[in-house]
Amino acid sequence: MSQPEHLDELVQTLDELGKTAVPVEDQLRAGYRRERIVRLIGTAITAEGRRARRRRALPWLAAAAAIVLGVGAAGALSLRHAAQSSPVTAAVEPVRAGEARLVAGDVSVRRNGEATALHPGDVFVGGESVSTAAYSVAEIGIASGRAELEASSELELMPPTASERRLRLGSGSVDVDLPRKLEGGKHLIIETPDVEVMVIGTAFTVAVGNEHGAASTHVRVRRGTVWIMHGGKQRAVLHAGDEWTSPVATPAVATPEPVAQAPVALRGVHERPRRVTLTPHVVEKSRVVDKGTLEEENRMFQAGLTARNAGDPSGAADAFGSLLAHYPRSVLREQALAEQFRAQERAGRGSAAAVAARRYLASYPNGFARADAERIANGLLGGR
Amino acid sequence: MIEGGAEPTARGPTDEQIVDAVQSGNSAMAGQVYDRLLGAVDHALYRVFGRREHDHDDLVQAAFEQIVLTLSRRSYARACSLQTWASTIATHVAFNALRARRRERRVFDRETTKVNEPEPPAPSDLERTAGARADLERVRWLLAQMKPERAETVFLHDVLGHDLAEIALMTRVSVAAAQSRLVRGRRELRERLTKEQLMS
Repeated sequence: MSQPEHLDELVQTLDELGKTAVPVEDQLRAGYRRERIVRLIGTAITAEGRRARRRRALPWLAAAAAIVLGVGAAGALSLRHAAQSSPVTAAVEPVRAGEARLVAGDVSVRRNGEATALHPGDVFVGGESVSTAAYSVAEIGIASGRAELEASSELELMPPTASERRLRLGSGSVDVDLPRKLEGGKHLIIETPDVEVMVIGTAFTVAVGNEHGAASTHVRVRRGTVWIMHGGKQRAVLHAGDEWTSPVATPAVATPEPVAQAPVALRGVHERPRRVTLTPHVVEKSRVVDKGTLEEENRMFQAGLTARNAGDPSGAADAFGSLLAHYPRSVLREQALAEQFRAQERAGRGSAAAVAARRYLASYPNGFARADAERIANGLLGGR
Repeated sequence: MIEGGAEPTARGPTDEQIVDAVQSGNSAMAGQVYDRLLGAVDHALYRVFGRREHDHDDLVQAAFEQIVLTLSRRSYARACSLQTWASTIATHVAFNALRARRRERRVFDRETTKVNEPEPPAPSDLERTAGARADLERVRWLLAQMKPERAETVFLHDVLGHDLAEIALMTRVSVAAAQSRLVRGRRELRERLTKEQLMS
């Protein structure tokens, strides 16, 4: 179509556009997306249904309000006098930092130095610190998204400011899914001991580990973009599929002259030079992390099945637990959770089995293992 | 005659049942909505961009948000299939995104991902690239520059293969208006292509 003189030729070109083969998507990515969007669709359907019911009820409410106004006019006049004589106290709704949506296992929240058990529906205003024990998990709602705090983790919710929402991850791992940017151009920032992860409308996991006594941060992005900040400066931009591990700086006495060197970046991460030195161990660790894909998830799942079939329920439970800890949003998550609580039950770990079963039910209320999960979860509740 | 496929009860809900469930606020149908319409949404987005962009998942999400909104608010008149409706909305979302990208080129994160953006192939490059593929890219890029209603009508008709009556229903205009948009759209696209050729 070098010279599109004729309409037929143009229509033919457009027709070719329509015949372009659409390649099959990566199943792992498609699985993540399905889980996220189905959840959003469910929320949107519920919200729209509620709005529709309100719209239908509006004329009736207006009529009722008119009657109440007419009948209560005299009473209102007398109350007005009373109201004028007392000080007006306007109820100020505190700005929410988040709310607990799901709590499974042993999860506590520390407010003003006092620790109490966390319950679904608890509201955070900022300043709270949430801790999860082993085999426990908590999901915290933040605006349109959520942060899932994995087992053996600690997360502090900072008071919201005009420009940002901030979560401070002290230890463990948090999986964040923020489908939309926060209102008013606010940023969501996950702070770890050594870096800050700025969220640009995305889904990712942040984990804090320990390398030679120094905190180390690992970030894995499933969707969208995040910025890695250090000392107020942007250090890396991560896109979907990217992973990043913070380098471990050697002590100042060991490096009198800071060496400018590229930090550890994997798979297309845009990095700026930074003044740190890297230990070979970190580089090696990062290479290992880079292999974490569907193949690795399958391998871990298969290890669990092998242990189960060999009559080793403890080993199976640990293997499935390891898979869930490393890949909390895995496409194998539902199967792994189901296998985990079944293996834990067979291994005689009653409370751990119940926690895993409740976690399964919270994520998959109509899942294939629902009956088993309900039996195990209720068994524990009955025993308490 | 032996008919393949599952039993009718195992085939999943009909379009009507899905729409009724959404309109009554039944969120248990969310998975069915996604599975039924993903193909239409994904294919429409792919055909507009010619690839799955870095923000493909976000566009899929935006399309589904629009779909649920239109179903809930009864904008969907049930005159065409749900898939057709979904592909129309996805096309609209995709063209809006293309236009927004052109406006926001200076934003940092657009700059960093510039390599993924559909750029107009320079005429001199055409000699070095496969001709047909370059032509398709140019058509996509020029469609994004046209008036939205004309570009979308041309795309729905000539690329996705919907007929004029369907397009008229989906875009809420008369068949005559849809035909007018198609004719004017094709003419505008042809003129833009010719103009670009002359400039080169």
